[in-house]
Amino acid sequence: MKVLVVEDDRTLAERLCELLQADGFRVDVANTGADADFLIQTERYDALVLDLGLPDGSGANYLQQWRDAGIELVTLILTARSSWSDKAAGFNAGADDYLTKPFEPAELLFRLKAMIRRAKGHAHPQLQIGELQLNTHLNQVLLHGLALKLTAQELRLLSYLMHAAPAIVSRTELAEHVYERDKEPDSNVIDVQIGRLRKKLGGDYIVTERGQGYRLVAPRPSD
Amino acid sequence: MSIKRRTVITSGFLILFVLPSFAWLLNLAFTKAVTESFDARLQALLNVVIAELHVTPEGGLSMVESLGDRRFNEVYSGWYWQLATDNEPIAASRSLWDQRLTPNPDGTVGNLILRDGIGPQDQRLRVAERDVLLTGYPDVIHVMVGGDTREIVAEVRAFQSVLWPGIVAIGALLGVFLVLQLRWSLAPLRRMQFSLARFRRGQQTRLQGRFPVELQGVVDALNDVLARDERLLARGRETAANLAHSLKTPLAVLKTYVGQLQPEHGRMLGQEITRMEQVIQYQLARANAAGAHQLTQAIDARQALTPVLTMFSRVCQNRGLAFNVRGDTCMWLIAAEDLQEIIGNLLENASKHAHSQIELNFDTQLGILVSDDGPGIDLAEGENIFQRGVRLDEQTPGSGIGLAIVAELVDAYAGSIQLGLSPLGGLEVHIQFPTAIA
Repeated sequence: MKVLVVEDDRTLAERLCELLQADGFRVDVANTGADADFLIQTERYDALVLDLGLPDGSGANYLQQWRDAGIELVTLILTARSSWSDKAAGFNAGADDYLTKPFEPAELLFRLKAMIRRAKGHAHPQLQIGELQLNTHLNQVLLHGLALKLTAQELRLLSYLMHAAPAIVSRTELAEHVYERDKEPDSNVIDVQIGRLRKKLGGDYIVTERGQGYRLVAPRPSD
Repeated sequence: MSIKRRTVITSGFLILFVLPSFAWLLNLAFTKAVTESFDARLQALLNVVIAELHVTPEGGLSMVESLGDRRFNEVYSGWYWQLATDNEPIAASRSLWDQRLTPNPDGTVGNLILRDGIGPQDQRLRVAERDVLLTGYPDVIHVMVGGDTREIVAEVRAFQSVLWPGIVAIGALLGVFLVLQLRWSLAPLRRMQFSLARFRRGQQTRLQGRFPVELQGVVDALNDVLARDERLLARGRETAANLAHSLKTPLAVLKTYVGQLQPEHGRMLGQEITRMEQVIQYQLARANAAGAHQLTQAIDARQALTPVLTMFSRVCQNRGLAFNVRGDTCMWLIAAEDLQEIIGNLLENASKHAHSQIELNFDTQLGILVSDDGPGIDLAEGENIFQRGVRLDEQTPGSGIGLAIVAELVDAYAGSIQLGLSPLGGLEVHIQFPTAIA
């Protein structure tokens, strides 16, 4: 999952970046609204963490612009303002959830994951396909009720596929959402990592749709 | 002392003291004028008497007796003339009969003396007297003409009979004018009072209307003070908000370290951060609540809450909660920001704890009722959640300050808060405002 953090305070931005990365997110940081605008126009993100007080204008105004431009990115706003009219004005510009500074890091992760999950059509924090379970809060994968050991990169891949299921995910999409911006892999690397993941999952959980990409499905019981 | 009383006292003095004094002076002047004109007549008669006086060749005096006025011939008529030497009377008008007037012994020859005198039957007279020397007559002759002052008195009486009712009428008229003047000149003050009362009830933020010059200055000054008050309050709020704003981001940074420290240190840091956070939010809330006593216009609660309700219906939808609002249009005498703050904090609290649904009800009768289907609280401990920083639930993130802010605000409007068990299963917070607000 790839998240854009827009926060003008560099220390906080850095800390949020570390925090999200530690939880398996791919993170880009923008310190100004203009930077954020550029990144949003050029990159693909799964979620946006937006501070309302930016040096070059209100975050709410940028959000409004993006919404008007038809960019449907799930957005969590951070606000230091405590007046509800300000908070509501910022939120009503098109946010999906909000947090008031200073927030608990755990709550940020919780809200962000819940938002992404819902945006992809999952109501429950536990995603399940066949005997495969992903607990989004604990980043824990269970297969047949047993914990499955995955590397961080494998977990990111699987998590993205599970969130997207049953839709097909192209290699480009995977490259954009699962890998760092400056380290986007060629399709070979993705194929290799998918291969490893397939081996660990066993069965036919990951289906290759020729020319289109990958899809996560529940294997037929007969297999 | 009221302006009314002052005006009544000064005008009362004018009516009861100055006006009679004026009348008295008028009376005095009139009496004097009448007496002088009476004296002039006497003097003219005296001159006639003296002109008619001749020494006869025998050494006696001749005198035309009648002076053309019959009253000198009617006995004790009040009109007399008399000629006398120092020792004995020489002649007198018929009206004196056997009585004689007393001459003034101090007269100098040729001088006219006008004085009061006594006539027959104790009549009060005005007397004109001149001592003359006639060639051929050895003694100084006291020539006197007297007239009864009843004529003067009668004229003065007649004047007074007009004067006194006139004065009374003028006094009464002044009294009526006084009442009208009080009404009219105090009317702007009453308007100002009315305007102030409207201001106090929060129906206006300034004193409105045009006032006379003397009051307009005061009204303008008052409005200036109110405007300055507003500016100061706004600036204070802004300062508090800026301070809070600038501290919240570093606190958020610090919080990200809490989880990475050794549990013991992390807990310590966490507690300290929470403390700072509470102080900031509490002081900020206080700075904002300072406006609660500032009088404001009655607002439509539903309209004021629209942004917050829109926000929460979206938040709840995104968090998978059902959010039901039932609110009548009600006009409340409360600052919109304060109402938003109260409802916002209550809804935030409810949305944090609810499992699947939140309800908000508000109307004039009910006040505000927020309920959720969360775990609820132990009602025995209920009061504590309104204290600053007390959280009954250490699991849910938050500073535990939101409800303290609500309590502070509701208190500022003299409202009441009751906690109860919601029919939904969780906590129910019921806020009621006094009738002055709702």
